[in-house]
Amino acid sequence: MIARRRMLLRLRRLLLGAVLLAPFSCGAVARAQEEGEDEAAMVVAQPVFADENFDQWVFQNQGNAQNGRKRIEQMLTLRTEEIDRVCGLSEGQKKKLQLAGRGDIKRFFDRVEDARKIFQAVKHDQNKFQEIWQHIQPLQTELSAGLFGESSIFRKTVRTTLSAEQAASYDKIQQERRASLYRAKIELAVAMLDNGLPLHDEQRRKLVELLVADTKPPKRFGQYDYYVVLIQMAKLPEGKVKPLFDAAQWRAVQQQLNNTRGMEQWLKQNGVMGDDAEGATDTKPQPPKAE
Amino acid sequence: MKRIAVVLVACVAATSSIGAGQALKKAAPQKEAGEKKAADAEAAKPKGDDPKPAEARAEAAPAEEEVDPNIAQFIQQYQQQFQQLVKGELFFVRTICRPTKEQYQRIAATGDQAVKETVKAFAETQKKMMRGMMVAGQQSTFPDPRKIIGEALAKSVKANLSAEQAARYQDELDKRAANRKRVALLNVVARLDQDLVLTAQQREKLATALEAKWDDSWGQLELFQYGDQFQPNIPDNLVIPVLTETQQGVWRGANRNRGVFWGGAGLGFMHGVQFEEAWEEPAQAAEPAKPNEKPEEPK
Repeated sequence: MIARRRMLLRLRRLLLGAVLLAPFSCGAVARAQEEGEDEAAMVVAQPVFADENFDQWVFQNQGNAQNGRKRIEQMLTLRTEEIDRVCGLSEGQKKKLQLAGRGDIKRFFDRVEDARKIFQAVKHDQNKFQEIWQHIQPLQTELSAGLFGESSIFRKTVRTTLSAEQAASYDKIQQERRASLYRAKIELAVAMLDNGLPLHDEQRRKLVELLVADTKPPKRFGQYDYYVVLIQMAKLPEGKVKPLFDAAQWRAVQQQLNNTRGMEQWLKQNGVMGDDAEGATDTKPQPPKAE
Repeated sequence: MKRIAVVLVACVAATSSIGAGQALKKAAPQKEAGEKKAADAEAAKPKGDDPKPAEARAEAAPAEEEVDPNIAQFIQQYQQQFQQLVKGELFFVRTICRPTKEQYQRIAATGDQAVKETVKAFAETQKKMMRGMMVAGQQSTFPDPRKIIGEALAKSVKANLSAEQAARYQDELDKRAANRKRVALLNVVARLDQDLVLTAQQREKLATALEAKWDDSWGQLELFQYGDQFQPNIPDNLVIPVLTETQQGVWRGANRNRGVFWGGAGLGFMHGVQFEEAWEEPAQAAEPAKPNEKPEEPK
């Protein structure tokens, strides 16, 4: 519920931008009417969203597609260097991985261009904003999580290119990284819970331990990590969670857990969370693959 | 202008839980003295389950000051949010210290004053930011509402409860602050790892370097809630020495300071959670988190 409200808030902010632009276009319309220009000219004079908006929405911190691409290519270099550092790659292996990574980049930018076409078609129509947003948001989520995750061509190529020994070494450091990142996200979720519902030090520590032991990382890390943690917490047996809180705290915690439940389906549809069984593979080391 | 200021003070005070009579005393004109007395009398009546008697509220609330209208609008904006924060903290005091009802009433009255101080500090900050005197993300001097409220309540706990109860509360406050710093540090390093693909050794080195030069402005937990959209403003000299050449290139090109001040209240995700305000005896209000603890006798 809260997440939906946040999404609506974000939409509202963007629409506010449109509303702020409105006086200018309204002014143009008024002038056009005064000057007796035809209706077609008035439509042309009403840009609701500028072309730059599209890049800013998709590439956020990077600001535009060019910077976005540069950043993604740097990430590919860093990923390949890491594997080389851990596994000692041959030149052939390096080339294969680079090629695979470029495939992921191309696939992503193809989708960006598809979304851009839709944007171009509807950018003058504020009422169709929802339509374009449905295409932009998955791109944002994907970019935020990184293009070279589990389902990427790069990752699949890593599995088929590395020797069994190399793969084992690489999987080990990947598991460590995911575990360390997920631990940070769990601690963050508990600290955020603690903001609104002050917990004792012992309660915080026990809750973190429970969540580390009994929940799984998201398929993609990003801005929904908090919900991924709490949705899983809501699914834990009451006998494990309830004893950590006193009666009044438990009532407040239940309110919060109920609020997050509604997000689960959306997160699954958008590839942030896996199904319960699928999530389990995320935390376990991948079996090494033969070269 | 002055009239507007007075009206705003009245509006703000009326929306707060501080005794309505106190606020009206300042805002209402002389000819409404009769109504004012009635309002005072009304405020003095015990209200249902409200555990704070009017005299306790009045004791805690000093005379109203005239408020800059520019600040008054922010006061209205923050008031409700911080009241929620105080409610949570008072609830925490109940579970940690197990005060008697009378003791709790005195501490709760301090909470009202703490809300006022916090809101005022925030409103002042907002004003400075609007005038360009403070820049979000570049300084650690932003008021921390939890700290202000915690300190005010700790003072009141110390004054109203036994030394052992006060020490117990202070201990929890210290542990909470340490935990928040630890969580922020953990998440700063995790964020850098996502961006720079660090080795385990680099993660460790960075954690040590950042901890040694920790700046509270990096500790706004909300920074880490929104994926990679926001970054704490960490100086190059702490990060660069740990990085490889390629990583340094990425770091230098990263858009780091997003200039966001989140307000630090951090209620965000917990909005809507309601605490029972009605007084319940400790046994019902909170089953003991640590067994064998009993409510302590008043001083």
